Amino acid sequence: MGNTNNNNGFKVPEGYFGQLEDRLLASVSGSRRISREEGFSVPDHYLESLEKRIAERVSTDTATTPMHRNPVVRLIYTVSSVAALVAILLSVVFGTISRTGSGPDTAFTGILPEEIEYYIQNGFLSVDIQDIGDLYDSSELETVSFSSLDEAFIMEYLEEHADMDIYMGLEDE
Amino acid sequence: MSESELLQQLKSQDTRERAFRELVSRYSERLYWHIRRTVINHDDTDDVLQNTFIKIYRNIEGFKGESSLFSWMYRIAINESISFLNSKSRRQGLNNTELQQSLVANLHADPYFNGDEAALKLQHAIATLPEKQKTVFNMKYFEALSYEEISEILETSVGALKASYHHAVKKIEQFLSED
Repeated sequence: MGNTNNNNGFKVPEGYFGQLEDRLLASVSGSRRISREEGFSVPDHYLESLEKRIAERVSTDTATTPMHRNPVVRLIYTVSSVAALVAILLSVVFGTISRTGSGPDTAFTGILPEEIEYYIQNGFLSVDIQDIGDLYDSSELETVSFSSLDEAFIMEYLEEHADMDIYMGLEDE
Repeated sequence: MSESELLQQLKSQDTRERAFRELVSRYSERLYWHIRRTVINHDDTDDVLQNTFIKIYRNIEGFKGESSLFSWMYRIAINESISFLNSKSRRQGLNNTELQQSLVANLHADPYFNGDEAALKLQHAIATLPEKQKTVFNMKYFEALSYEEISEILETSVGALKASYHHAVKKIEQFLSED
């Protein structure tokens, strides 16, 4: 029997990996191959319209929100997203610095709102809520403390800094 | 148009839009199917695919050509799919395995799934795999990519990929034989 795939002294029979597929196929449905088309399908003309829809998205380069959301809902969604983002950002900053041994006061007062705003506005902080969530596994997220955040501060920050005009303009859509 | 010519046009402001349309036209179906096998549901796939292309568009100028353009796009699609699933599992309070099982269970009522029992059984088996093994299995088995291509996309050695695929196949075989 021929041998291939010599790797660190270990060998497998010739054609072994190719046969894995055959054996799997036999397990699933006799000798019949299950192709990708078998099972999943797509709506009629989906792929034909995809190019146009993506081009439209790119031309406006919008955020990843459903396309037909009510403008008012979008406004609320955006404001709450911004609030959540600010809150989570502060928590992440707080949490990260706390992990390095600095005290809570140091962490909170060490980062000025202006600095956060600067980073967000200048694109240095290209994270979204989902990205932040991905930095932590669920158990860590459960332990992130939001209680240290001053709600009044967040609302004040939003009132002063959130650019509502951008979102109010959506009513023309 | 070759990939390098396409890339050149994508990086030029004057030709970017036309080249991007060409990019979407050329690769959207392949990326669609990879994402679909990962996130299962068509509507979710549509969202992830669009986000993938938006991300490609926004970041194309930063693409350094260290891998092929398609490998780079594929990598973005994989990351977007996994991020989407992580986010979805968090929202639903499920772990990844539970979410996968739930997605596959919903295939019974999915108007865009018309597979027979064998196809459904295979999906159930795939849903039991760890994320990396599932990705490798889908790319090798359904998408017929070579180990070398998968290696470039996932930045993993061919040997490790063969091991992943082998483990995946064994687990699927075991799942199917137990059923």
